[in-house]
Amino acid sequence: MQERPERSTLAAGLQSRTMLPPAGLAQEPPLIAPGPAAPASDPTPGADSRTDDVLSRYVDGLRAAILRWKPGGLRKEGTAIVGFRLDREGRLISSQLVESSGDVQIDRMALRMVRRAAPFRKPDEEIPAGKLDFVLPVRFH
Amino acid sequence: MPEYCRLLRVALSAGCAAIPMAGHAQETTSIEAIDVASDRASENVARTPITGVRVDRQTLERRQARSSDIAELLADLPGVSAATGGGFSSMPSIRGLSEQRLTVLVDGFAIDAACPNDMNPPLSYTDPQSISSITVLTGVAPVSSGGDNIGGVISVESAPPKFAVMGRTLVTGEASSFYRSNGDAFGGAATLTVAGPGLSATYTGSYIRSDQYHGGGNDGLVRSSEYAKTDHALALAWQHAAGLLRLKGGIQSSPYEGFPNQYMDMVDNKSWFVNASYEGYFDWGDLELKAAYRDTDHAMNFLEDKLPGAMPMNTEVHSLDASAKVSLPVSMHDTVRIGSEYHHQWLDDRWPPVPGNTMMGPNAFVNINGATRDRIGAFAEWERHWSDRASSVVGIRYDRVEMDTGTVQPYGTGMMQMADVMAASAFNAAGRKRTDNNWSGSALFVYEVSARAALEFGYAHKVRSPNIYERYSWGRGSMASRMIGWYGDGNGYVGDPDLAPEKADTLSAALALGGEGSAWTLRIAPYYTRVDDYIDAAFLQDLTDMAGMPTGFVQLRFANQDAEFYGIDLSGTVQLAKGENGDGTRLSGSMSWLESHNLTDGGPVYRQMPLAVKIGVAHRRDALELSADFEWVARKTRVDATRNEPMTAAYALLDLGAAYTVSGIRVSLDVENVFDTAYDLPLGGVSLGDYKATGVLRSVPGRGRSFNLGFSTRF
Repeated sequence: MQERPERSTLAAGLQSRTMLPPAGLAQEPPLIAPGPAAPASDPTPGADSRTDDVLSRYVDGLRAAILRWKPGGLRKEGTAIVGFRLDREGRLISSQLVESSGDVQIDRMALRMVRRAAPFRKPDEEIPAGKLDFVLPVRFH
Repeated sequence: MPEYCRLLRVALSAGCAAIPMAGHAQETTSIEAIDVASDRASENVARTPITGVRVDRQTLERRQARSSDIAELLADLPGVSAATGGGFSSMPSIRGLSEQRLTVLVDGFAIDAACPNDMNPPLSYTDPQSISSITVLTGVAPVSSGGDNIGGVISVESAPPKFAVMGRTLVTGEASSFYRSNGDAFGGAATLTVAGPGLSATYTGSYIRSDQYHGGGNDGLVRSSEYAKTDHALALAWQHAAGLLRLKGGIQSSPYEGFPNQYMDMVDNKSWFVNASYEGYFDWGDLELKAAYRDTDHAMNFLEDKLPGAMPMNTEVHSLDASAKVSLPVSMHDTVRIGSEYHHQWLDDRWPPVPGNTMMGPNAFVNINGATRDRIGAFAEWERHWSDRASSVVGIRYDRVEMDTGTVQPYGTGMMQMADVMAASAFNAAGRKRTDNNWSGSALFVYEVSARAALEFGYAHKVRSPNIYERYSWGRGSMASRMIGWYGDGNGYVGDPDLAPEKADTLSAALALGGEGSAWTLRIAPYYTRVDDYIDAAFLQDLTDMAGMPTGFVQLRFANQDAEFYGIDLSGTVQLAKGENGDGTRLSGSMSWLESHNLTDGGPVYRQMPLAVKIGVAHRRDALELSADFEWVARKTRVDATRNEPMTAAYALLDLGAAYTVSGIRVSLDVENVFDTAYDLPLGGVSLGDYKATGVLRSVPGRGRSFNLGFSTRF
């Protein structure tokens, strides 16, 4: 039952670290929202959109698998951002808190969701290993 | 394209932008934020989502100028009523079951009663001015919420820890004060938190005092209704990578609290406590460890309205509480909770001799000699989410209660003390150790029919062992027995070591219609409880005066009887107008109907609330808040003949309120009982303070008109 006043908004916190200005994103749109944003410094410019499609489908699957482990009835508000990396088999290599919600329970619940949901489906061949690092905000309210 | 833009905005706001991870050659793929909502009924199955109510700080802030008694404020909730005690010591009743039949937790800990009249029930250690929230479960409560009870749960959270954002220091707090014209009552409270990101310290303190209040109309002064108390507490919290450690200590001192419906008044109550808890959140599950110690010294005698005379009575209680619980998410649909609890209570109750009084001397009256009540309990509970819409919680628990007490003695061995002399010798000759093995179980099921309709069904079998006074009060003299009891009826009570535990079976259902964002809501919650071995009272003899004439009061012995309770709680809201930022006009209403039967004697059960209907309108626009609350309570005709319980007449009350917030300070003025209506409290008992002064016995009157002024601010 903790409260966390005076917290900067998540969006503001993230945007300050965003590599690209929004305009750059708009010019190189991901086809669907949850998909990866293509950074301007993409080492393979013009990478085929099929890879993006496959990746965004895979990300959708990850998200759904993690969502199934959401805890019930926490009655707290806050957002924790979890980072995690998978290997080519879909196993969790590492997971950590990228940004704390300020509430240890929320932070740990968010981490637990990712860790308990693992291992995930084997990533498709088309997805380069360099794209298997993920970041996921979990919002409790 | 518009669709794309919308998605992009969503993606951006969800942090869907590439974030470079330090030291990684590779880039990061962002995943759209996951929302974990807590408001859905099926998510909250373990908290009885439909029959459970949470009263938040904002609501308490609006009500704290009206009463310093948490139980009285909770009586606004459907299914909850308050049996009159002192000014801050009413005893809550949920669906007809009161007192120690309920689980009452303060910051997660039970507080033992330390008085033969229950003058210091758990909620008397709380103050509406300094509480952050209260959760009330009126329906079937899961066994993990506590053992040794057969009714609902009231859980008070005083000050949850707050932490600062990284690199900053948080200094925050609240201050408030109030004045009530009726009784010339005033008080104040302060909460101050100083915190970093990992460490937090919170001080809470409050003070209240009041003179005797006046009843409405021609009811005049209600004697023995004055009170004063001070509370201080300091809470420390340390948050680390995987858990939260809390330490809290506090002290309460009440120099006086009159009891209009008891022969005695509280003339001093000092209680101090320390408690510690650890909550750890690991990948395998949650761990919760708790420990607490409390020491209470309670003294009774007569305050001004019951003078002349003296009769000191001193009670001392030490309590130790420890528990360990784990919560294991065994699959994505299942959580298993197991836990164990230990509770130790030591109680000593002695009445020093009164010099020069032949009845109360020459020795001390030993009412309870170092009684112990030790409980060890364990539970296992399984929560399953069958689908997005359906969930259940099923659990069983076992509690072993062991009680014992030492030998007792009467004031003396004179002829006038013969009843107590004989009772003491019988009590001392008998074996007094008792052990109860209590099995309980609960099952709850929640189903969301649609976004606008949810159903809850519950069944519980719960068991409560008798308390120390129910088993070990022994005095058979008129005066000694009239010192025992929390019923406010003027009768005398005698304990019985052979009492069996109460065993209750409860069926509870609830339907919730409407919901958040909807213009109206409606909750319908029927229930039925049957209690085997309900601890009621059986007639022993009429109490007589010096001339041998019946006084109208009787001597009773605690006795196992059977009882049933059933009723329905209705509540609803209609949003009449809605503006921005919580502005708007809202109509709310509730109705509680309850009927009880003592199946052994065929009559009604003592102290049951008659039909009550409440309607309120609340309007808020910017800094202005306005409210009007109307309450109608039916005539109480179902009364307990065994106790000579008086009937009370129907009544209707109107309260009006206005508040304005300027420069962060909220100023409120409420007019309570606008028409100064005279009425008797249906659960007030008989007004013994008035009786001693006037010789006329009446029911305890409710408060007459009062102008209540409140101030509060946050920083």
